[in-house]
Formats: sequence, C-alpha cells, structure tokens
Amino acid sequence: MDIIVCENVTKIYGYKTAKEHVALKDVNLKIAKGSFVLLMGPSGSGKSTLLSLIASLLRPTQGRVIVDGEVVSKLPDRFSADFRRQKIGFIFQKFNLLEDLSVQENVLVPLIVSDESIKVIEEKAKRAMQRFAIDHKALMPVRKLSGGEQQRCAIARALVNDPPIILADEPTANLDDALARQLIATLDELKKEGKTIVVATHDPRFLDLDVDALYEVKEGNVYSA
Amino acid sequence: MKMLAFSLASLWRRRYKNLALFFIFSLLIFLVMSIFLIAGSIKNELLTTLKALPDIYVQRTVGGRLMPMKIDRVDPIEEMAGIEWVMPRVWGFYYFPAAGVNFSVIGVDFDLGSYKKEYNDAIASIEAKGDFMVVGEGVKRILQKHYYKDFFNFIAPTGDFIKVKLAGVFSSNSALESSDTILVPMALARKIFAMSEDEITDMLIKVQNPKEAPTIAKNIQNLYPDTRVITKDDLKVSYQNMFDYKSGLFLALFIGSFFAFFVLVFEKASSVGKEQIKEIGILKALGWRVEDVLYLKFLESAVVIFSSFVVGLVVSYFFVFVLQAPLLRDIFSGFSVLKPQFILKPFFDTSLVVTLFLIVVPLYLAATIVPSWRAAVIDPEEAIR
Repeated sequence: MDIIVCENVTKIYGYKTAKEHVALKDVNLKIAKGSFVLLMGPSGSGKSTLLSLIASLLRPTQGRVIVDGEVVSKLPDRFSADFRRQKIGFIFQKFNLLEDLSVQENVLVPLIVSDESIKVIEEKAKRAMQRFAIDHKALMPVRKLSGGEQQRCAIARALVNDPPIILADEPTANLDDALARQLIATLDELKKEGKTIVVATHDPRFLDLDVDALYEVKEGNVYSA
Repeated sequence: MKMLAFSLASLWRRRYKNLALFFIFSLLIFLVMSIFLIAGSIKNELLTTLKALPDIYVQRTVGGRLMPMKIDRVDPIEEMAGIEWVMPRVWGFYYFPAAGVNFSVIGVDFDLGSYKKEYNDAIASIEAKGDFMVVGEGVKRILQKHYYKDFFNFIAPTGDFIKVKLAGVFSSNSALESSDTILVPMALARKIFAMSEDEITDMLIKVQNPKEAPTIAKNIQNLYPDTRVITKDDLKVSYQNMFDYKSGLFLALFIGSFFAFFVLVFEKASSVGKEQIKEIGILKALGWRVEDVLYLKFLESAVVIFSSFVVGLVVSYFFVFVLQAPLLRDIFSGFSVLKPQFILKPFFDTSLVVTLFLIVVPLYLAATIVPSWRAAVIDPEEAIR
C-alpha cells in the first residue's frame, strides 16, 4: 500500500516573477508504507523541496501530494499543521532547534499544542530523550550541545509524537563519521519498527543499508535508480 | 498552562529585550499615571479652596491701581439686604529677602466671629495680646529655617523694626491657599504697610443666598463706583485658569511620554526579526497552527504589557501618595514663591485607570500580534529558509 503519492508535482519558486526558479518538474512518485527510501542527488537538485512538499511545508505549483490517503497539498493551514504533528517526523539538515531553549523544551515543542496533559507530554519527552541518549542533557540549552547531541535532540523531537513517517533532509551532513553511522543505524532501527522513512542525501554510506527504493533527483526530475 | 509555561520560557530566552520593554512601558505608565494622580489630587485641593472662598471681594481701584479705602464703607454695605457678614482686611505682600519669598500678610479684626468661621476656627484659642501673628505652615518652616522660632522682626517702610510674637500656626482646609499666609491684628498690619488707622485694603463678604451674590455685587458697585467687586464665580475662573496653566505644563510632559510610547509601539509593530520569522516557521513545521503561534505571541505580549501596567500603576501610587511626588509636584504647586506643604490625598479614579488601560494594552497587543500573524501565514519551509 502506498503511503506517499506524488502526482505530476511541479514546484516553481517565485512563480510568475523575475526570480522564477523551477525546483521540481512534473514528478510522479509512490512510496510504500513501511519502506526505507533514499532520494539521492547533488545539492540544489530538488531533494529538500520534495521532502518539504511531502511534509506539507510547501505547496506545489502544480500537481498534488497524497499522504496516507489525504491530499495534503490542498489542506488549509490548520489541517496541514495537524497533519504534520500527527503523521510527520521531520529531521532537518541544520537541526532547526530553538537554540536558547533546553533540550527538554525543544523536544516538548510539538506536544505543547496537543490535547494531552502536561504529565503525559513530559513522560513522552522523557522517553524520547532516553531513547536517543540525550536525557542527561535535558535541562541544557541546545546551543551548548555538540553537533551530535544537537542531532540526537532533533531526532528525539521529530519522533516524540511517534509519527508513522520520518523525513530526513541530509541528516548526516553535519556529523562526523561515527555519529553519521550511528544515525544511519537508528534510522534502520526505526524502519524495522514499521516506520516509513524517506531520506534525502548524497551520503554514499546510506547505500550500505538494505533500502527498499532509491531515487535519483537531478535538475528537478526524479528517476528510479 | 502548557502554552503559558512555554511563553514564559520564550520571554526568558529574549530576556534582555523583554526586560528593556518592561522597564520602558512601566516608566511610561508610571509617568503618565503620576501626572494624572498629581493633577487630580491638586484639583481636589483647589475644589476645597473654592468652597472656602467668600461670596464677594470688594477692593478699591484708582486708575487701575489697587488703593486703600476708608473703613467707614463697611457699615453701609453691612446694612444692605442679603448680607450675612462683612470682614474688612488689611492685606499685602511682605518680602523676606533672606529666603527670597513673599509672605501674604493679612490684618484682621480678631474679635469678629465671621473671621473665626472663615478660617476654620484656627485662631479661636489665640489669647495673645499686643503684636502677634498666626502663620501658615509654609511660613513657619521658612522662619524656623532662619532661626525665628518665637518672634519675627518686620521692617516697616520707615525702616523701624516691629517685633512680632509668633502666637500659633494657622491651618485651613486648603494648604494651597494658606501656606504662605501670616495673620496679624489689623492695627499691626497697618504699621507694617504704613497705612493710616482708618484705612483697609479690601472686604470679604458673605451673603445669605449665594444666588443673590451677582445682584448684591452690582448694588455695592453702584454704591461705591470706585470699587472693584469680585464674586466667587469670578474667582473660580481665576483659580481654574491658574490650574489650567499648571496642567498645561504637565500636558506637555504627557504628550511627550505618549509620543515616545507610540514610536516604540510603531517600531515594535513594523518589525519582526529574521530569527523570529524562522522560529515561527520551525513551530509551524512541528505542527503548530497559525492560531497556536498567535496565542503564544499574545501570551508573551500580554505578560509584558500587563506586568508593566500593574507595576507602573502601583509605583505611581506609591510615588505620588506615599513619597508625595518629589520633583513632579513642584511643577504644579505654589501660589507664590513659597511652596505650600500640602498633602497629596489618595484617590482612585476607575475611569482614568480603565482609559489608560484601553489606550495602552490593546494597542500594544495588536502591534505585536499583527506582525507575528504576517510571519505565521508564510509557508513554514520559506520562513525557516
């Protein structure tokens, strides 16, 4: 069963302006539930844009994106926010942590707007921090953490809601070799738990994994590799 | 509660900026509120003064200059219909060079019951004989400062010293009016101002029916065409003009404060930093709705502006009514060079507080939320980038 479907998706930044830039051209893509998918290609090829469209962080200029049976490319703001909170765990390349907040506060951010009680969300945050071995730094501002610790904090935050889909944008780009391999292993583990994982990367170490699909993104086009 | 805790953490993250805003707003609210409280308190004091004024003043003018008049003018006026009492006075300023101030010396007939009534029975217990004086509190302070504790030496226009015993301290319902006053027997006042024994400077008149005061004033004017007859209503206008002049100074200060406030609000309204836009983008990427972001910003702004408002309000009350508004009150107070030592009496004006609240708080909240809304409706990916 396909959990992510892109139908004739085109994304043009600065559409109908002098700064018009075509990021994706008529992309068609299907990702099965529970699969581990790699989007590979050079910087600026459109990988990040594709992930943002799947996460409903952006709207396509043309075409539609369907996630878990829902046309997310047409969702009004409040529903797309709910969709992201419930279905998507996004690991950003530059972590995008709120730098002056503590680790625990960062991990709590997606849960604050949920209907759950403070006690429940604190428990969830604690479990997520323990899982990614960052709980000992819970009260430390994230700007004081090392790159690897910041990455673990970002992953804990992405997964604290237990989303079925994990999107990772160049997750190893800012990590040393040991930490990068550790992250790859973590993602592989999550795949085994039944999560759907889509990683945009040009890191060849991911090729060591037994991935379900590999797509090459080149100048806005997506090819099956 | 979750959101409030997060908003407090968010405020703490930008604590230097928020503390600066808190102090500026507290200061502005304190300043504006203090101005209103001092003005209100002094206005109350003036209303008390107005209540104590006689219904009619009678003076004599020649060529526009105030001139003494004969005391035998009192009896015909006293016999007019509708007059309750007439109080002749000898009045004038006495300059005290050591302090650089003018005292208002008022010579009265201490035997007149009307006088005791007029000045709140303040001198009822005075039994001094000869040359004595009863002084206002401001005068007493000045005299003591210059080592005059039991007596004071007036210098007559002839150059002679007139030693006057300090018999008591005069009090009145209104400190504003009485602070610089010296009450002396009429004969002594004539000596101080070198006037002849049958002369007075003015008369205070109390009528039985205040509504008849203008008619009686006209009759007095007809009887003595060289007099200037001033009714209580005329005096009210003079007092009001004086108060309005002082208020004008405060108003200038007030406009300055509010101009600063609006500049600050405008600055706040028209700019959201890149960091803030990115933060909003991250929150939205993590599943926050636009209304969640706006609620967070509302709480942050509300904490700053409410706490500023309350602190400004409390500090202004403390400053004005406990500390008695040092520095600021000097702009308002004082009929003469000698500052009256009146007390700013506490009052609470609900409409004033509500008006200030409605001017400041919604404006600030709108000014901070609107730019956040503009940032929150951008696609999260674009905001983060």
